[in-house]
Amino acid sequence: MCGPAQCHNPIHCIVPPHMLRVMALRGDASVQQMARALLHQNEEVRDERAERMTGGLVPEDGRSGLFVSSALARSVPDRHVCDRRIHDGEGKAALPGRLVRGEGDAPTGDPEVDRAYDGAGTVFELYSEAFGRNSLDGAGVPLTATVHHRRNYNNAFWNGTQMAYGDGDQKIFRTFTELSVIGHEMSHGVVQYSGGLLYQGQSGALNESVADVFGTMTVQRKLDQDVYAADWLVGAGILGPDINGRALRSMKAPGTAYHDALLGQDPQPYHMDLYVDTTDDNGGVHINSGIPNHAFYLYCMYLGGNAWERPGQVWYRALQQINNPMATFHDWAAETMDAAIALFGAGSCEQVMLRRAWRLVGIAC
Amino acid sequence: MMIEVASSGGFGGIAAGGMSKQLDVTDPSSQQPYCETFDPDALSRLADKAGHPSAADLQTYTIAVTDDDNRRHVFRLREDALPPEMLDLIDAM
Repeated sequence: MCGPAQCHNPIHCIVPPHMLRVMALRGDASVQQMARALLHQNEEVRDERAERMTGGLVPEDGRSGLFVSSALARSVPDRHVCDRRIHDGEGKAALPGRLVRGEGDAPTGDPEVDRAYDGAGTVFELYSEAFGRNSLDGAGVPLTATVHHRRNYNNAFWNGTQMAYGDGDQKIFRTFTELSVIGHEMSHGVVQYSGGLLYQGQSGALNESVADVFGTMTVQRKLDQDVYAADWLVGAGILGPDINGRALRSMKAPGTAYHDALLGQDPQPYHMDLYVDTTDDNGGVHINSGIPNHAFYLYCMYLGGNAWERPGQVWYRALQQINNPMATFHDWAAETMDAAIALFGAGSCEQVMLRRAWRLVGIAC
Repeated sequence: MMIEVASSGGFGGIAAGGMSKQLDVTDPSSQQPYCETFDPDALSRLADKAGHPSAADLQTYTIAVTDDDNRRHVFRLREDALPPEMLDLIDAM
């Protein structure tokens, strides 16, 4: 029971925790700070400039009552300027580490540094040229990354302001600076600046799926592969030499990326009937992402061509339009349907095939 | 004092990708940084910290400390709640 003796802020008594989490994700600076303070009263809320930009939504021009991400609403500038800043963590945990390659600098000779630099540029180009987006936030935010993060570190992440890549332990993982991984991590930044998807349960799995979709799209565009030529793998080649697996995830055939004595079987489902209820992994965000991943793959197979064209435009528009950080798979499917109608018209092939793709993974919309 | 650390989660979502380590602090004078950093009260304060709401693919750490009175204190913390110095100590365990 929240009484006056325990709680001096009336909002804390009225607003449930899930709403506070949305406010912490989506609000302006003052709202974020208030929400965080209420959620974690013992913490001194950090004043991070990038966070103040997080997830800003603005009214859609000319359509009263509708909101879109600031990146979508902003008119496309004449020129997007990439600003990469690659740091060397030197095996330590402190971020960002020592700056070793800035924009325009020559290759360093360190493969991790140079792959992180080149990969960041490729992802920047995808968003700029295919989607008219100026960097992760739509406003040209520098692309900050750290390689050689910690020792034998089996992970890569987006921490809200930058990317970090471990070197792997050379047994389970051999590297994390593979292009689909870089595209995945940077796309978490795009999700953040597009209104955000809470990293828990279905909305968290959608966050993961969007990162996988745009991560694989980055590879396909770089290789100029159409949807039939692509391998649809996330993290191809990053597993250790003795691991029996091709990649971390397969969008074409979720659940088949690896089958190994140490790692076990790839647990990703491809259909809602196989949805995994778990408390691990933030409610299975890396597991159940297989379902929307496979829906995107099926949609691409129906439409043909390049993933970053019609299918990618639908997914990107849905991401910019959705105004629901706690979206379910069904909410997301409905948003993609709205995007397909807006872009290609009601009854269009793009809309009909999208509905069919969602139905094939067990989601009616 | 016994310190046990295990990690899970992250980009791969693979349990085997995590680590599991333990350190038996038999001589506190020579392992003072561990005693101070993994003090249950200090860990309790860290557990109250919030990370960035939009961070993704971070690992989760389960840290168990058995004190000299044989009491076991277990904490579950997201990676960005741990200070870099603590993560470096974990890597060095």
